[in-house]
Amino acid sequence: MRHIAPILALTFAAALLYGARLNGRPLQPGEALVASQSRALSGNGWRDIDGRFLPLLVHAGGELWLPPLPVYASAVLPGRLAAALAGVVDVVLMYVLAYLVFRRQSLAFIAGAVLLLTPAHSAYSRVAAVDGVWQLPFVLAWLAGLAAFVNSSGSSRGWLAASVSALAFSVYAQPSAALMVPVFLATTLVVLYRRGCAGRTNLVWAAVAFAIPLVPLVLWFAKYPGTYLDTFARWFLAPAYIRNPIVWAQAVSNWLTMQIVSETYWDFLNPFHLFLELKAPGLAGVFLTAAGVAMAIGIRDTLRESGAGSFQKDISLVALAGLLLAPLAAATFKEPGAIHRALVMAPFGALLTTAGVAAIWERKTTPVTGTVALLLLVTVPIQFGWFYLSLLSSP
Amino acid sequence: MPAVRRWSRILPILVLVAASALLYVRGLASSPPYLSIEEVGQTTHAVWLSTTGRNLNGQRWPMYFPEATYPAGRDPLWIYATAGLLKLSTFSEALIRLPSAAAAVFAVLLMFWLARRVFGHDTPALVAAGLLALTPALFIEGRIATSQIATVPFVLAWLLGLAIYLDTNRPRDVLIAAACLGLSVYSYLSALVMAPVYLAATFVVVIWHERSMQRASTAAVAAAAAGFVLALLPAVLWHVVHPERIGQLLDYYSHGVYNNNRGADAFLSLDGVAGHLNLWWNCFSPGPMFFGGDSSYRFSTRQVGHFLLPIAALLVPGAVYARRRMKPELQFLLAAGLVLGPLPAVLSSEFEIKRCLHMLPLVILLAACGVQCLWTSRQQLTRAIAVALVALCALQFAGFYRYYRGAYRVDSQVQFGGNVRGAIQAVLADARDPGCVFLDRQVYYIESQWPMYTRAYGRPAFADQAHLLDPDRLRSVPAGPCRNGSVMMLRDGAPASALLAEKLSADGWQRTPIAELDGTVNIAVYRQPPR
Repeated sequence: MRHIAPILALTFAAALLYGARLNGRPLQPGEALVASQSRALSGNGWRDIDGRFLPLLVHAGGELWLPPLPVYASAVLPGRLAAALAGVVDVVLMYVLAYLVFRRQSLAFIAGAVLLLTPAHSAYSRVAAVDGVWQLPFVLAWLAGLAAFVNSSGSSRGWLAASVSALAFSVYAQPSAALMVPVFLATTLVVLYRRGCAGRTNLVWAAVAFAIPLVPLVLWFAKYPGTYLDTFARWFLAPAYIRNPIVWAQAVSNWLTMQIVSETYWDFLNPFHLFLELKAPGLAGVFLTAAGVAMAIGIRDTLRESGAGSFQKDISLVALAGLLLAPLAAATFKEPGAIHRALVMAPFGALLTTAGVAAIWERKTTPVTGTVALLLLVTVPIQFGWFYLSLLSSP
Repeated sequence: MPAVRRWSRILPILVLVAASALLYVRGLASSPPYLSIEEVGQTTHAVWLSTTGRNLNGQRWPMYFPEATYPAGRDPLWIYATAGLLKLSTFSEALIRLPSAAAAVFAVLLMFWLARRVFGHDTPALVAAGLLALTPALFIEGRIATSQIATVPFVLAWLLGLAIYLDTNRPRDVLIAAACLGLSVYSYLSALVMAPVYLAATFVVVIWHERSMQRASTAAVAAAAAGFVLALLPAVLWHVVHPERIGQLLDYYSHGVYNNNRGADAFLSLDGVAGHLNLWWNCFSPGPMFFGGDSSYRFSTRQVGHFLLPIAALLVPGAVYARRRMKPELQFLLAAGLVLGPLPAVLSSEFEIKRCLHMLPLVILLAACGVQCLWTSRQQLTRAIAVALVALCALQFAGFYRYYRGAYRVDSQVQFGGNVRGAIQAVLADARDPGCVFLDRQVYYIESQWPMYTRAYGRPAFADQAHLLDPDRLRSVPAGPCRNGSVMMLRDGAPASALLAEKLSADGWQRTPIAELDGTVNIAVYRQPPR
C-alpha cells in the first residue's frame, strides 16, 4: 500500500507531461505511416492489404512491413496516446525495478523521476512511429522480473518465467528490438550463473517461458514463409545466414562494415549527445546533464570492488552492460545518432543514475563531487523545463 | 659470468633495435611509392637550406621556414636534420625519409626503457616495444619525410624522465624530462599545443610525488620549469622579435579547411564549441583507431586502423592493471595524456593521426599493461589469451605489411600524383636549355615538385627558368629560340592537353611515356627533334 502514493504521483506526472498537447504538431512521416496502417487495419475488419485477418506482421505495401505493436496500439488508442501510455508504463516499471534493486522507496521514486525527465524518453513518448518507446516496457519488465527472481534467491520461478517472456515479447515491439533479445538473454544467463541460480530446472523454466511468446511468430512464418525476407531477415538474421553461418560470420566480420558500425556505435556513446547537446533546446541530450554526473558516479560505484557479488551490484552491472550494449543493435542500422533505435539506453541510464544518487547519499563520494552533483540537481527543472517547452512548441 | 649476464640483457635490446631498423628502413625509397606533397614541401626547405644555408625568404640559419601559403613557417628540427643528411650524401627518397625512420626506431627503444621502468622486467618491456614497433600509425608515419613522428620519441623521453624521477627523486631527471618537452616544440606544431599541457601535468606529478614523500616540492618544480624554459628559450626569444607568427598560426588554423573557415567564431560560438567537443570524442572512435586509419590513402592503407585490432581488446585489462599496479602519478600521466591528447586535432578541427601521434606510446603502454594483466593471471586460459592477442597483433601486422610493401604501392599511386619524379628525371635527361622546358600545370603539384627535384638533383638553373603552362595555354606549340630542342611534360590523356599532344606528335616530337607502377601512363615527356 505504501507504494501507491509514489506510483500514483509518477503516473500522474508522466501522464501530464507525456499526454499534454499530443496533437499540437503534425504527424512526422514515420508516424503517418503507422497511423495510416492502423486506420486501414481497424477500418478493414482487422485485415491487412493482403486480406490476412489480424496479421502478426503488418504489410504496408511493397517490401515495407511493420512490427505489430505500434500498429495495433495506435489502432486501439487514438493518435500518439499509445506511445504516451507506453511512456507512462515505463516510468511505473522503472519505479518497481529500482525498488527491487535498491529496496528504498525514495530511490525508487528518484529512478522513476529520472526516467520521466529523460529528454529522449519524453520526446519519444510523444511520437507514435515504428521505432521509439515500444520496446522499453518489455525490457523493464524483463529486468524487474529478473531482479525479483534473483532477490528471492531463485525460489520464485514465476518471476523468471515472466522476465524472459517479457524479453521474448519485445520482438513484436520494434525492428531494432529483435537484435537485442539474444544479448539480453545471454545477460540473463550470466546473472543466473553468477547468482547460483542456473540449475537445470530454472533453465528449463526459462527456456519454455521464452519460447511461448515466440510460438505465434514461428506459426506465422510457417504459414507465410515469404514474409520473413522483408521483416526479420532485415531486422535480425537473413535466411542465407541461417543456412550458412559461415556466410553470416563473413558478413559480420566484413572490415568496412565493422568500421562503420563501430563508428556509429561510438557516436551513440558521445557524452555531448548523451548529456550536453549544445545545439539542442535546453542543451539537453538523451539525458539531462545532471543525470550524467550522477550516472558517472553510479558507474564508478558499480565498477568498484567493494560490494562485489551483491545482488544490487549484479543488477547494476547488468544495467551498465545494457547501457553499453543497447546502441549495438541500433548501430547495425548504420545511422549515427538515431536514438529512437537505442532508446533502451534510457532505463539503464536511469538505474545507474539512481545508483549514483545512492552513492552520493551514502557519502561514498568526495564533498566536492557531492556538491557539484547537488548544484547540478538545481539545473534539472531549468534544463528539462526549457527542453519540454521547446518540445511543445516545436512545429 | 658477469659479461654473459650483461650480454643477455643487452642482446634482446640489440635484436629489438635491429629488427625495428630493418622493418622501418627496408624499402624506404619505394614504399610509399612517391613523395607526398607534404614531403615535397618539407624537402624543398631542406634542399634549399643545404644548398644555400637559408630559408625560402632568404633568412640565414632561420628558426622557421615560411611558405607562400603558410607564412608562419614550418618547424625547424626535421628540416635541419634532413639538410644535414643532404650535406653528407646525395639526394634520394630513402635519405630524406631516414630521420623519420630513425625517430620511429628510437621511439621503440625508448618504449622498451620506459616499459622496463614501469613493469620492472625485460620481457613485458620487450612486448611493449614490440607492440609499438608493430603499430601501423607509427610504421606509416615513420616512413614519410615529414616531422610529425618526432613528437613520439620526445613524449617517450619525457615519460621516461618522469618515470626515472619517480624512482630516484632526483630533480635533474625532471629537468631532463621537461627539457625534452621543450625541445619537442621545434619538431612539429602539435607539440606547441601539447608541451604546455604536459608541463602542467609534470608540475602536478612532481608536487604530488614530493608531498607523498613529505618533502618540499620547490626544487623539483623549479627543475621542471628550468628544463622547459631553457629548451624553449631560443623559440621564445624568436617570438619576442617576431610576435606576428602567433597571429599567423591562429589565422591559418581558423580559416580555409580548418575550423570551417569560421575564424575566431569557431571557438566562441555554441556551434563551434559543439563541433570541437564532438571532434574530441570522435578522435577516440574505434572506426579510425582500429579499422580504417586516416581517411587519406596516402597515410593509410584503409585496411588497418591506427592501432592493430587486438590492441582494443587489451585496453580494458590494461586499465584494470594500471589502476591496481601502476604508481598513481603514472596513472595520472596516462589518463591526462590520453584524455587531452586530441587537443591539437580538436583545435584545428581536423582529425588526422599526425596531430595525435603523441598518444601512440600512451595507448601502447596501456595495451602492454593489458598483456601484463592477462599474463600474470593465475588462470591458464587467461594467460593463453594474452599470448593469443600478442600473436594476433603480429599476424595482423604481417598482413598489413605485405599489402603496404606490395599492392598498396600501386593502389595508392594516384593519391601521390603518379610518377612525377620519373617524368622530371626524363625531362632533365633530355633538356639542355632550362629556358626550353615546358611543364603542364595539370601534372600533380608540378609547381612544387619541379623546383624541389631539380635542386635536389643538382640542376638549380632548371628550377626557375622552366615554363609552367596553364591548361588554357596548351593549345599550340610554344615558340622560342631553343637551339637544342624544347622538352615538354604533359599530363597524358587529359582533355586540355590532348590536342597539343597530337600536334606535337604530328610535328615529329619524340614522345616518352612515363610508366606508372602498374604500367599505365599518366604523364608523357615530349622532346623536340634538334634542328
